[in-house]
Amino acid sequence: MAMPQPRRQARSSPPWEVLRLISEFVGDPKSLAVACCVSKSWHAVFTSDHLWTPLCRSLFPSSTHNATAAAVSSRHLFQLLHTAASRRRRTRSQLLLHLPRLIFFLDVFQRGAPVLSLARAGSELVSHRGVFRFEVPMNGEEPAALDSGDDVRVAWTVVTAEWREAFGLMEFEGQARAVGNREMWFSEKLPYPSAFCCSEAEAGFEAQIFIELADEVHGGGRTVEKVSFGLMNTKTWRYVKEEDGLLYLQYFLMDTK
Amino acid sequence: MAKMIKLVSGDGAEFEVEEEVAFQSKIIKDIVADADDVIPLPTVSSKVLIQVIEYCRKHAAVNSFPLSPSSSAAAAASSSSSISYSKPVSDPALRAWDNEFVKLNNSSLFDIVIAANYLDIEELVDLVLETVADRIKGKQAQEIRRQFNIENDFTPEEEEALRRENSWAFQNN
Repeated sequence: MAMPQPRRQARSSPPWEVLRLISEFVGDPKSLAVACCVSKSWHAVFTSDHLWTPLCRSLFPSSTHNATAAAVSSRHLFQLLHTAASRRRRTRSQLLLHLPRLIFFLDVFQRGAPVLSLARAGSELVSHRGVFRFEVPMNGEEPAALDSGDDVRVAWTVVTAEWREAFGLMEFEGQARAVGNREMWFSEKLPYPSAFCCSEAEAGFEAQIFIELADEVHGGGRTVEKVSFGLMNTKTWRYVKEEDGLLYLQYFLMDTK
Repeated sequence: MAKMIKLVSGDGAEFEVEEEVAFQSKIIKDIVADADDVIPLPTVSSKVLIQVIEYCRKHAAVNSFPLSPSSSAAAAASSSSSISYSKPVSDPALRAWDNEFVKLNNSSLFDIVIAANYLDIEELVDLVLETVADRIKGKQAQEIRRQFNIENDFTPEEEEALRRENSWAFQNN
């Protein structure tokens, strides 16, 4: 078979025709899958059905008996069937979402105007004793004043650092609950999907925000000194562990199902 | 006196080889049947042609003795679920020689396989492809990129998606 003079991309990267021939000699599925991740041209070569169809056929011959299986690529089919068994062994999701990959936004409105706005990257937060609760001292940076008497609107949102996904942790409108004479407290029940698995045997989650106010009154309101936010387990009435909180957010923010 | 065939490389150098050596290439065998004994190979450089001739010379001696029945049965049995086309070289001394022959950098190997493919020298094609495939098998993506000087042209999001999709292949279990 005569072959055209190959175009060489760089010093020693295989010409495309050669790469196609090489791909047929790699054989084992794991190496093939890794090769798909090398570059776009390698992806095109190594995802080819003619490499994966024989693997599917020999390891899962039953897949050839379903007509709709032909609608997906052989590579995808192989990956699906190969990882099917491992799902049973998985008792707990692997934590892939770490705190530095999140940004938290908090907006508090009173009488229609914003009175407190803060944004904190996960990397700036330190968990309070290993639980999913974070304290944010205001340090006088954003002089915010709240009147504990009036209605407020609170929105607490978490966004992934790559700006891909967002999840609303709280959307509250109404009277804040007072704790002593210094704190305002907001809470909202969170959805608890039955498919979600974590170490707490039975749980319901609640988003909680505490706003600590200064004693002095400044023209119609009291300055905010500290804000804390966290996730609480409504069965045990304790804050959830940091890892469990992250797993919960991961469930909604990432496609790991 | 062995019949000689003249091979002319892309850069004009001429190489006289014995017929049985040249006939390792099925293409040359077919050409010589109808035409001259001077074969121009414009797409093959001298450097590569020399290496290919070296391989052919070594294998011509071996191929004059046909494969024994037991080794051809072994060849058939070894290709059950994989799609490798290679017939295993049965002579261990020849296998060792082959392994030395392919101790070359990737660039040279690609040149050789392209020439061998053009000339239709099946065993040489298989040998080189197997060698290069071994440099890929079991390696991680970054190692492969370094080995073959490949640029990672995926965006971070694409890479993340690929990593998740293929996470089963990255675990060592």
